[in-house]
Amino acid sequence: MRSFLLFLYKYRAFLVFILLETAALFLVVQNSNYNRATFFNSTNYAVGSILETSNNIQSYFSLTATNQQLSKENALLRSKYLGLLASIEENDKIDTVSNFAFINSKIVNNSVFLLNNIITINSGSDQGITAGMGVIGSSGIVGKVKRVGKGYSTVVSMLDIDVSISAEIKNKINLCTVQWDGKSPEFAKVLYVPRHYNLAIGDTVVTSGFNAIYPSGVSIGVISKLILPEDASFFDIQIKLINDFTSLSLVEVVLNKNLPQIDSLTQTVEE
Amino acid sequence: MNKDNIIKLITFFGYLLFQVFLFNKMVLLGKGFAFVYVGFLLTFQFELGIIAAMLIGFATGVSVDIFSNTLGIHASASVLLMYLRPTLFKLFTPHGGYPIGSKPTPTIMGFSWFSTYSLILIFLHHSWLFIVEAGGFHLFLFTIQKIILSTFFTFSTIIIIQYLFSKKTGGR
Repeated sequence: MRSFLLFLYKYRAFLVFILLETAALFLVVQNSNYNRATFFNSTNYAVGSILETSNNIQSYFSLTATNQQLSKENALLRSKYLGLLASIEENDKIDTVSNFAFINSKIVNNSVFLLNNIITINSGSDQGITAGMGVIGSSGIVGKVKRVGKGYSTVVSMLDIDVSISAEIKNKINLCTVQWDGKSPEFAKVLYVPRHYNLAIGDTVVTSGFNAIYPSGVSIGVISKLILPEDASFFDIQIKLINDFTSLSLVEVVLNKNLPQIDSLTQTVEE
Repeated sequence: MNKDNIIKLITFFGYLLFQVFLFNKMVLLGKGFAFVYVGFLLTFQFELGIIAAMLIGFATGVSVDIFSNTLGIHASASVLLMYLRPTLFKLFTPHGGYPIGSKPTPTIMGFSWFSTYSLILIFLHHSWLFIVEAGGFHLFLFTIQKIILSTFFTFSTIIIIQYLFSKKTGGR
């Protein structure tokens, strides 16, 4: 017993080192789980409000850019609205978009250069946000809600090497996968597109209808590089993301009104 | 709590503020990060016990993590840094040992001593940090580029901060 205690005492520094490292790495692993609310992240009220204050100051410097972005989006929406108005008169079809509601929110903290980037937004359970909801920006998809606090939530950015998004290439392929490669916040990759398709640079990549998080047809990016290696069975596609993640400031959280129904159906099928 | 500890506490919040609101947003070429809070850990006095040092490292790392949503990553790298610090002190003991009660800063120990000491520790800290962030050794080349660029970026900012602030308080 005595020699054991002496051993512990002799190597106490190393043992404390191992203990603290284990604790830290446990936190790393635990933090990558969805849905588990922990105290130590920016959904915490104190941390969230400090980040928001800092962002309030910073956002003054990009007011012009934000305004331009918004007016551009306004123009786009107006043109779409007029088009829709004309088609509504022709047929009374139910639009899938009406199944979705949007909660607008402001980004208070954002990172783009890590491998698992997290965005903090200033709305939470008080505004009706729950984990797993999709988040879209003024021109394209942004990410998915990870944790929800009372007044703040964290969002897993699309710029996360572990996130893959169900997508389609407009008018050409109706199912493919978009994933970020961790390198530049401007570009992402499209995976598993077989070589027999006839693609071109400039084709638009949008979300597919095979997911319950985003409405179908939300823009993701435009093909900017297209390589077909001789011996590969898949294209090597790089897309330029439509959203500029470095200057993102206003986002909308997508509420799928049919989600509970879809979930319960899937559950019945699985059982 | 004596005067020295109060100064250290204020310094801690100073570093945290700089790290979270300024340096977290400054990234060179998408790869070079400046983790200036490492400067806070590097300049603790020589006599600081290793266990206390690791606990301080853990607390500092967690504080940075909370604000950057990277829970555990900075904490584990900082604990490693604090664990290795005394070993480096032993390796680089100058003739006649260290002056009692002094700190490892460039103004006290000289630029060349400080840069050898800090470059090694910053390099190890960053290597650990980026490998844990990548979750292993895939993306290896990209991780190496990040480590090297960030080591020099962090080192330069720490040196500048040391020369700017360390005259009166002996290490900000």
